[in-house]
Parts: sequence; structure tokens; C-alpha cells
Amino acid sequence: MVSDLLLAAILYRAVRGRFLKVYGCFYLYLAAVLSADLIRAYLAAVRTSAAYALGYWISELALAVVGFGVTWEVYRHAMNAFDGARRMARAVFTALLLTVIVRAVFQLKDGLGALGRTTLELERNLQVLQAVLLIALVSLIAHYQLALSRNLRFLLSGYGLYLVGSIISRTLRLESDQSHAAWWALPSQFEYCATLVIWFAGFWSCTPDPVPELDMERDYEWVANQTMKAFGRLRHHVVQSWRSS
Amino acid sequence: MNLVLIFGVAAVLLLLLWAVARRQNEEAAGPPDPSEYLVRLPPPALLAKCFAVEDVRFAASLGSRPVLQLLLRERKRLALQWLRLTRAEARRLYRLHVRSARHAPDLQPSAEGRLLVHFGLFLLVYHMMTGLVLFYGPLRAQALIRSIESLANVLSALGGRIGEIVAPASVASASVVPGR
Repeated sequence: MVSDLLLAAILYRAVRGRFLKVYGCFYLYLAAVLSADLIRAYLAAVRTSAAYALGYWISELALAVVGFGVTWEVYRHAMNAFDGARRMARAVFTALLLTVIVRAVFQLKDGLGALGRTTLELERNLQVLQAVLLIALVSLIAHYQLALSRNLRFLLSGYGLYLVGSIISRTLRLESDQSHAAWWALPSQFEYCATLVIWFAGFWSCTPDPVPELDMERDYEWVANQTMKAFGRLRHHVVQSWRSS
Repeated sequence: MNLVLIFGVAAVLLLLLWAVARRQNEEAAGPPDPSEYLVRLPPPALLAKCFAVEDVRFAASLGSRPVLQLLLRERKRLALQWLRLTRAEARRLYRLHVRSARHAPDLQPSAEGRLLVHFGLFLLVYHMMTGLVLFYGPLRAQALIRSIESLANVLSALGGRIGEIVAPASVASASVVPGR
């Protein structure tokens, strides 16, 4: 109930502030979460428990897939003003996705079940994949020292913490003998509410993405050559100094 | 999926998020100044002082063990400081490149990878030399480096000679085959 209220409040702020389109994929994800909650509430009240279970797992799986949109949103906003970092991110993502696809193809040889014996496991595996993509993205942000807007910082922190918490709790649940126990819903509810509080604070208003102060004065080849030469001089200096002193 | 891998992914993501959040609070670096591209090397005189044998001889002639030990300790400290300054310069240069390259529309991921490997190799050499200085002191480390270098030269010369012997033979046999 609290989480639904927070979700509605975040969406309301975006509609009121007219920045729904600025973070389109993110708000689509939130709308999907809210819709899933409403569908589940309807199924719980009106339909049988079997129908609820089916609806629950289908919606969980769909949300795990829509969640990739949040990673995409971070990528789009963080790399927008940085052509070089964007090129690098594209190369890293392509390599990562190719690796994952090749691995999945090899696993599919053993049958579909190898990707995840249960829906819970498949969902957890999808979240691990998202976490790997997010690791690549955050590494590039840290490496190129990209400035992030307030919205993006909160989006990244909230989603990252949610992924970490969710992966850990789902893994422990899968490993436990009582994976169907009702109390397993508690940690996921807590993670979810904490994430929504972070997003609520971060998306109170829309902040523009930081614009770099200056474009690159020289071309990339010149800069790369200068750095290579500088490294060469430094290496030569270290070796020569110890050899001839 | 492997449990260690899953928890590892979660831990790495958490660490990276923390690092990014911490870095975002620091002031963002502006565009690089052309003068920043100059390599600022640590003074060679500092290192020359570490290797001066005369000072060691003089301290030894005094016959005081604590004085000699103090001199050797200070030498080690100076040599380590010199190495640290060199590493700081390498880091500065790499950060400068990253600051410039992030805007480049023609950035080449392969060139970035090569540069990262170069930087990694430099750090590897740095850590090896630091280890040598820590364990053996600057004087012995220098002697060791010279020995390794002369050994490498001997190996390279031997390799060259073997190559000279083998290459003409293989060229000759290769030229014989088509005409068989």
C-alpha cells in the first residue's frame, strides 16, 4: 500500500512538472510496476489462487524485462554530451551482449530449463544480467568522470541498490528449503520501498543534464598519440634512471 | 548460476555505486590546459643521491652501525618517494587523456584498450621496482636490475644467433619444396 502511494506520488510529480517524457523509459517502468500491482490486487480479490500465482509470475518476469529500460535511461542521459564515452560504452555493451547471447545459445542446447529451472531463478538471472550491464555503465561513468544530474544520480543509486538487494534476497530464497514461505516477501518489500523513497526524493523536480564546458580542441588521434609518447618517455626515464645512476 | 559469481556481481555493483556517489561530490575537472600535456618527471638528482656509493663508504668508515642504518633507511625512503612521484605523473597523464578523450567523437575503443594495457604494464613495473627496493634497498635493487638487463642482453644475443642459424636453413628448405 505504502509502495503504491509512493509510486503514484512519483508519477504525479512527473506529470505535474511535465518531465514525464524526459525520463520516458523510467516512467514506463514505474507505470508497469503500478499496473502489475493493480492486476495482482484484482486477481487476489476476484480470481482463484492458481490464477493469482500465474499472473504474479508473468508480471514479475515482464517487469524484469522492462527493467532494462532503466539501464537504458541511465546510459542515454549519462553519455548524451560525451561522444567518446558513448562510443566506448557501445563497444563494451556490444561485447557483453554478444558474450551473453553466445552463452545462452550454448545453454539452450541443454533445453530451455537450463536458463532458469523456475521463474524465480530465471528472473534472478535476468537481474544479474542487468547488474552486469549496470556495472559496465557505472565503470565507464567513473572512468571518464562523467558528471551526472541530480535525477540521474538518484535513479542510478535507487535502481542499483534495488538490484543488489533483490539479487541477494532471491538467491538466498532459492537456496533456502522454505523458498515458498510467506516471510520471503518482506525483504523484497523493504528493498522496493527504500528504492521508491530514493526515487521520490530525487525526482521531486527535473534537473537538466550537465553540459560539458568545452568541446575537445584537438582530435582524438592527437591526444592518444601524445599520451602514448608521454608514457614512452616516462617508461624510458624510469628504466634509464635506474640503469645509469 | 554460480553463487560466488552472483554475490560477486552484487558486491562489485555496490562498490561502484559508492565510488561514483563519492566522486560526484568532488568538483568536476574542467577542460585540460595545453601545458598539462608536458611530462613532469621527478628530479633525477634525487635518485642519483640514492645510488651514491661514496656516502655509504663514508658512513661505513665512521664505524657506527646506527648511522649506516639511518643512511640506508633514508636512501630507501628517497627511492620509494621517487618511484611514487613517477607513478603520480603516470596517473596524471592517464587522467588527462581520459578527460580529453571522453568528448572525442572519433574515439577508438581498441586504442583505449592499448593505452590501458600500457598503463597497466607501467603499474606492474612500478610495483615490481617498489617491491625490490622494499626488500633489498635501492643499491642492491639497482645491481639486480643491471644483472637482469645483462642476462636479457645475453639471451637476446643467443636468440639472435639461433635465429641466424635457423632462418637460412628454413628459407633454403622452403625454396626447395615447390621445385620438387
